[in-house]
Amino acid sequence: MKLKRILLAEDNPKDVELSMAALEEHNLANEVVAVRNGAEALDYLYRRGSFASRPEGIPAVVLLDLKMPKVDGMEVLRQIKGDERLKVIPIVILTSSREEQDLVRSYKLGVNAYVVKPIDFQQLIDAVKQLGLFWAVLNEPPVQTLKQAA
Amino acid sequence: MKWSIEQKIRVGFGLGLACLLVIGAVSYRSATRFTETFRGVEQTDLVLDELNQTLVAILNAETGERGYALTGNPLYLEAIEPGSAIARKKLKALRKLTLDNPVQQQRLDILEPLIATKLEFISRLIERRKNGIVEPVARTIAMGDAKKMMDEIRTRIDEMEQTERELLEGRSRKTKAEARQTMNVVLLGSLVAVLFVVLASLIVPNDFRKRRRAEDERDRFFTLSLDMLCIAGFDGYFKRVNPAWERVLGFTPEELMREPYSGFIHPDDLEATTAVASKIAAGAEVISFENRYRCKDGSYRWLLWSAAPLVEAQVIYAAARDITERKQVDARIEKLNNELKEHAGQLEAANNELEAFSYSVSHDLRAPLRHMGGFLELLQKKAGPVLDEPSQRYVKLISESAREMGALIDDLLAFSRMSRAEMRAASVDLRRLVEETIKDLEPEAAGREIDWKIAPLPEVQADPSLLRQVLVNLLSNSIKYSRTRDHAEIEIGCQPEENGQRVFFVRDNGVGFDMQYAGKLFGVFQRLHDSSEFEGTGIGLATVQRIVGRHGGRTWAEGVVDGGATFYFSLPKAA
Repeated sequence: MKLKRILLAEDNPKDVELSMAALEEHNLANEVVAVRNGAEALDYLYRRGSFASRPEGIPAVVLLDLKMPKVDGMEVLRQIKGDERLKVIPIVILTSSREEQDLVRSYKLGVNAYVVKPIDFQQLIDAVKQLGLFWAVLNEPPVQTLKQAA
Repeated sequence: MKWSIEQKIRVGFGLGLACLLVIGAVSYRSATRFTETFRGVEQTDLVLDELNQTLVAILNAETGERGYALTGNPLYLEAIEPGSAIARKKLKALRKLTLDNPVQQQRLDILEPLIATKLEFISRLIERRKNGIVEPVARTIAMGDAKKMMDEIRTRIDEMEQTERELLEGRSRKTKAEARQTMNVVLLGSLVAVLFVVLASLIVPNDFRKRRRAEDERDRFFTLSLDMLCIAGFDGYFKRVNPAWERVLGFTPEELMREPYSGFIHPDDLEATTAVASKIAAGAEVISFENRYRCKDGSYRWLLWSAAPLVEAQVIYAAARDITERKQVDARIEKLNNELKEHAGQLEAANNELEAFSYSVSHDLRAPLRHMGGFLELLQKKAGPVLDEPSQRYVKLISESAREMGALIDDLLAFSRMSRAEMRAASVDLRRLVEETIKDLEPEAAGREIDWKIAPLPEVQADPSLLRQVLVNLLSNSIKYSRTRDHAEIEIGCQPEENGQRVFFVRDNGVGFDMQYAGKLFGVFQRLHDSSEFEGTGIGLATVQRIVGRHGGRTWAEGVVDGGATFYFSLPKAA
């Protein structure tokens, strides 16, 4: 099993499908692991539960929906940015609204970018570009880089 | 200086008493002197008498001696001895009587030897005659010595008499003068005393009248007062109550004074009242103490007290006011306040709920639309080429509808956010804001011929971003609804103040509206045109009204169908 470079945390399967379609166009669908809620996202990041046996390493980017069952996106963001090992991962919040309070809170927690759903691939690319992560996401990274990062 | 009646009485009595004392003292002194003088006169009389008797005694003795010498008749001898004895005795008496007068004593010093010599002479002649020696007459006469001696005695006695008489005269003159003086003092003193009495009888009754009038006035106020006035003893009984008590409580003054006042106080207030009463009895003044008093009908009235003690008289002066109604009003106000607080709490809860609702709307309601849009796009990409023309149109319509609904939700959320957002008032140059807004709206006005007329506009106090929203909505409306005109005119102006409010307006020559529906213009989702004519969500004017309302102003509109519309909004001048 190969380490996926994109972690997509999204509870709505339609949104997952639309996002996947957008990424598909750029042949990135294979790089995506989709989880259904915040708890699963954390399990994946910490290699526990059903992801205990996943390959070592951390994803190049996490696409995070805010409103999810069990553990919401804001909490996942808080935990990632509070973890010395994980906080280097760029986080892109996927949002369906422009609720100011969400924006303010997530920027306070250290979010890297904000993309309004449904994911327009161009928009995602723009956000990722702004983060200077374009190549990290679109190009196959050297495996050792990921290992080093892990 | 203002003297109290007591002082006046005291001073009057004091002065009167002083007069009487002076009169008494003067009279006493005068009487003493008078007695003294009288005694002096008596003494003088005595001295004169004694002098006279002395002379008579000597003359008797001499007469006897002469008779015996001439006749040898022993009968004459009888007169001699007593005469001599009397003369000696009288001299002694005189010596005693005139002890206080050195002049007379000196004279007595001369007189006494003279008389002694005379008496000796007489007894020597008598002895010679007894022995038979008859002096010849000539010789007897020749014995002029005897006459000379007698004359000498007489002169001396006369002198003494003269002195005594003068003394007497002086004394009686002095007595008369003193009597006159005493009379004067008594008269004057009596006059002054009478004067005081007269003055007192004039002043004191006047003062008493004034005092009585003051008491009458006080009593009248006591009677008239709407407040309940009373004097209560430290013993716990009312001493006096005014008629207001009966008016308020229904008890007669007699009923109130018959039992201790504690019997009228609400049991719950008794402890506090007793504590306050003992504080007053200790000398404290009390204002704004409240307790309840029982009425004759058994109900209770709230009384507000102010009281002060007169410790030396062991009484409390107190005034009470019936504040039952105020208490009831207070209670009502408190109840209303509590209800208001409750309502405010409910409103806040509702507001929070609404916020939660709009948050969830923004996420959940949009999600299906988003999916519709997304999948339609995918559908178009995948099946577009194989779909026939009507099917392609349906896909396009569905996609449009989804977008429209998304816009509606966005507007609604913006409207609700705008209503809750905090306002930050600042000085805003309205004309500049209008010009900036027009520039922002250039895309909407693209390809149009619009004549903008901007009147000079003042600075206003408002939240700049909210005010910009107002202008955006009004101006974009004007652009939109005048697009059927080849030549559009949009005017932004300012009217004279109304009730401290500045009135602004945006006027266009567009399609206008029927005044019949003017009231609906500012409602949420209310539209006077269907969207085939003019697109829109019907939220713009509602937003305008909400923002202007939050600034303390109001909005209204005038229009004529196909004759243009004018939208007004006012802002408080000082806001």
